[in-house]
Amino acid sequence: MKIQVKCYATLAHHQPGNGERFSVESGTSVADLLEVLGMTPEAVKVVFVNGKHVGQDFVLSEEDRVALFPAVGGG
Amino acid sequence: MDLDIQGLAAGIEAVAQLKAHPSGTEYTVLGEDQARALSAKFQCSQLRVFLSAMEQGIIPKRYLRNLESLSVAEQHELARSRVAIIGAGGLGGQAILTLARLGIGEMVVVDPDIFEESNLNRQALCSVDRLGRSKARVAAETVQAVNPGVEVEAHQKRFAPDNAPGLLAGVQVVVDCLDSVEDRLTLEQAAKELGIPMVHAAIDGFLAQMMSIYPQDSGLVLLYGREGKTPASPLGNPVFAPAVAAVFQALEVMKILLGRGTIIRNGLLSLELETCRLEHFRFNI
Repeated sequence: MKIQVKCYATLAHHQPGNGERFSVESGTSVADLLEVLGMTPEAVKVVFVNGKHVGQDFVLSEEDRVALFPAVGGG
Repeated sequence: MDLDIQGLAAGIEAVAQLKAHPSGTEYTVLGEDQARALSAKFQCSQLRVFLSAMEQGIIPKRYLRNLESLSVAEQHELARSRVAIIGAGGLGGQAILTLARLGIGEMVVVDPDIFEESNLNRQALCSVDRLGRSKARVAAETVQAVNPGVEVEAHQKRFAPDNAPGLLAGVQVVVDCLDSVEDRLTLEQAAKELGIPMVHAAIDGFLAQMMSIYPQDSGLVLLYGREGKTPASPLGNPVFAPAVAAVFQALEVMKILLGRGTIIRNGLLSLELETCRLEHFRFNI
């Protein structure tokens, strides 16, 4: 299935080139996605799917929009 | 000496003039020079003069162009407000300048640091001639120059649990302009204990984030987890993210004080500036 993936700030170097239409197997969880993208679970502090907060055990569906944030603390 | 309230009110009325707003509406305005003269004559602050004017429906001329977007009553409410800005660096400098122009009556500014050369790329209050000077004191001086109708209490010290009650006394909103997660968690806990809403923002590279946290809200734990380890700004801090985030913080302060607009609560406003993404994410609370 196809999903959208956006990796923010320090996670940006994990951003896949085809993030607008990224292919994952059906049944993929957020945790599975992080592994595919080469991120550790600790590096990702906040996950939103379709604009709403989810945990890393959340199972993704076709066309989901996934936003991955690290801790951002600068000022 | 007690303030001659009726004398001040009459003095304001005597010098106020009609002035047309771009909308075509005419307002009665009080000029800056007249306000300063009345402040000297009645030996009171310019804020007191502004408050007295607005109580009579007379708008200080400096706020004329706020009208139609803000009412005279709302401008008066802002002038009656006390806001604390914790941190006067990248976020804080711009937040302070914006809140001063907006017309917040009283500000508390807290920052232990002095300006350094590495601040010049982004910090709105930093200039070559101010290197080595206290950020908090420079903030107070600059606000006086921009808007003498704002009273600033400057503290060159680090915000800490033991000084929090004093620093936040009488404050309606506190603005988190800090640069470490540990300090932000300290501020959030103090604000919650004192029942004060906090407007958080943080930046890294071209990314800015903002969230308003009321005392009963989950708040920063949603963003940082329980540990609160500090990520320095590994992507650096070009001028854009602090400037934009701070203006959004000041706007949030206005909305909270006036009870209007969309307040980013139990949500995250994310601004990815380089790719022009402005998103409002929500926590399911």
